[in-house]
Amino acid sequence: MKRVMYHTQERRHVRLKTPIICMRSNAWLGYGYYFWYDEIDAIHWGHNSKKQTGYFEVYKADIECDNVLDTVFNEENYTFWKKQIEKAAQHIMQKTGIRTTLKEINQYFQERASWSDVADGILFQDLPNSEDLLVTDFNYRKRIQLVAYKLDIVSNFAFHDEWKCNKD
Amino acid sequence: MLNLKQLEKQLDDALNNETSDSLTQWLLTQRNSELETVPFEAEFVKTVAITSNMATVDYSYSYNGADVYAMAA
Repeated sequence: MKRVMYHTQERRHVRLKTPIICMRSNAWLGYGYYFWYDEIDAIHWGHNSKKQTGYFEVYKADIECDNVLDTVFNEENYTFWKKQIEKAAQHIMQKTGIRTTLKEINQYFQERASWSDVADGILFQDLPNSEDLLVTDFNYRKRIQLVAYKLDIVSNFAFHDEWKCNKD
Repeated sequence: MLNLKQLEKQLDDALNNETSDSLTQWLLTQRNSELETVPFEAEFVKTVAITSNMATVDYSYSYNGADVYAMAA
């Protein structure tokens, strides 16, 4: 199954031909190529986190999701994912006394358990705190993000639109 | 279709092969690498704490208005 998804970056001198890998220390799902499910979340991300050049760009791509761990729409995948997180976090806490961070637990899956050899990526969600929501105090829309471990599940990557960043 | 059993096996194998030392070292490497990639514009606050058997240096910093925390042994 292919999904159309969105990739946000600062505007540069040259348009991108491929997505840029995210190496941020606070990346939700470890290192990889990040895409948003909804364009509105890609735009919000640009305004909030891609401000260095004053403008940001949103790219569009088709993502092949057949071999992605889908914790958003697939109940079996979601319960599996929750169980693995809790197991690993508890194990690490017992062995080290250290509570792992979101990035560390996902990086552990990728690096130490080599999940990226088996899965092409992970689809994950939290809830947006966004002005586009039409009902007060009701996060009825999921904020869905995908990390792709491999570029070969990304096709038709192309410039979609650009915006000037909001002033703080 | 994604092979969940294989994912679980790889995670279980990895966890079963870990010792306290190997896991602690891996976590500290992760946190130290975050320190090394802190952008130069970041504002640092550094504190030193001595615990029963080791000294730890805690760095907290902010960058572009976001608070970030990291610890190095």
